Amino acid sequence: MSLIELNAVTKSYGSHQVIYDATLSIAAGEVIALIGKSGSGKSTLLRCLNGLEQISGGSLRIAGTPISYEKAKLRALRRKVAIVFQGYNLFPHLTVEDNVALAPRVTGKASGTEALKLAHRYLERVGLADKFRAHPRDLSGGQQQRVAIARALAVQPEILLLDEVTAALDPELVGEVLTVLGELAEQGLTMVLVTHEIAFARRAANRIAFMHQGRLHEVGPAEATISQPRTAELQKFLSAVR
Amino acid sequence: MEFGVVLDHLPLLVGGALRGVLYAVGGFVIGIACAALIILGRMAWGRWVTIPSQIFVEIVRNTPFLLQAFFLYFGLAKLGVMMPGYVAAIIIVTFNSAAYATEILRSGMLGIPKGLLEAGDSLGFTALQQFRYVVARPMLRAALPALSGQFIIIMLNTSLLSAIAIPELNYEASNLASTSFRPFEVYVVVAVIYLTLSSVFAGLFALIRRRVSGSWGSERRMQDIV
Repeated sequence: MSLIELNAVTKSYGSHQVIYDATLSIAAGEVIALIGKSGSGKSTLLRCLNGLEQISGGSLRIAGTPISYEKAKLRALRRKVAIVFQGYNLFPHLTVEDNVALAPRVTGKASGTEALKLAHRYLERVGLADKFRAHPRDLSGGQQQRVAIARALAVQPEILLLDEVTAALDPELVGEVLTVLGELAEQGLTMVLVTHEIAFARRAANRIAFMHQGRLHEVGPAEATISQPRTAELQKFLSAVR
Repeated sequence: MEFGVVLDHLPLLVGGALRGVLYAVGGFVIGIACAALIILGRMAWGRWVTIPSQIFVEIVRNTPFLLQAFFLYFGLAKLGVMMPGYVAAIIIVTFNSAAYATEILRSGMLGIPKGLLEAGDSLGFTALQQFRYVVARPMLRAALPALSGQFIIIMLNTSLLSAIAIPELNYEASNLASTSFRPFEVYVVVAVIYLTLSSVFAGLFALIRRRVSGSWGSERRMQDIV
């Protein structure tokens, strides 16, 4: 059974439709890269998956449960589907370890010390064992983004969403974040990522979904889709980003 | 110039000043707590809290302090709602603090990046958790300078409470001025007392501000704040 099932999903803001008829199933353990031009709807589609955006039509099921926008159900969904943002969005008033420990402690029913242990474990996993007590503003962008990944992982989600997580980083810092993502992919975490890193998508993702003008224009195995795009739009997009 | 009479009665004036400060501090603390609850309520229940609370805020902010005092103390008495002067006084100071603090905290909250709120939402926080762990400290940090100014205004406004017979500084001063026939000297001393109080509280707020914002870069742990 697929973990995420989109069936003819649409999304409009008033009369402005941004997603048309998105149908896609994602199996547990799969890594899907959403690529496409700015404004093609890929971030919006991603944000629908944890309910940050409400779908306007069609159906969306996560782990078999149809999405509900009732507050308590939405909170339950978000413990299964975590998200990492382009702008990190770390809590500036908390230390790195507290940023990561906060959610398990507050929502996951872990005690203070358990939550801290958990935080340390995930921070070690993203290579930040020496930054537990630092404040976000004292870290580089790449380090902050890795804290954000650790914070999302500490919720112990079944699905990790990543919204252009390397787009705000200096080129030399992109690698350290992609390394962490590559490891997570190998460990079998289900991930959906919006990215401009085509080479990374080709290597780390199982499938590529190319969005064009609000539609899932071409979806296929990563390697084949990049090396032999079937549609003219994807060919054009790939030659533009290369 | 004859300050001797005034200085003889200094304890009387200081006593009045302390009572005024007591109303200001008490009302302001309760008022800020109310404002925080209003903001929290708006986050949790949206317009069902926003609309009535905004009506309250607008009424309080757009009618004179003195009129509110008269209405509560004399006006309501006509309807059979009697209350001692000190009760009316604490209600008025609390209402004013709550109304202005609500606006100040709201603007402090507008300064919080939307992404932080989305991050809290995405971690599955309830409105209360969101308020407590994500919003409260950045909001307070942004709001403290304005809150400091508002407190001073409210403290100075307690001088109007003399009109409903609250024996604060202005009340004692008026009595002393008319019994001693030394209004100039009396009001010079009273002005000095108000100035001193304002400076002391401004300094106090500056200290709090340094504590709240200074901790962001230093070793400070969640255990200390929750």
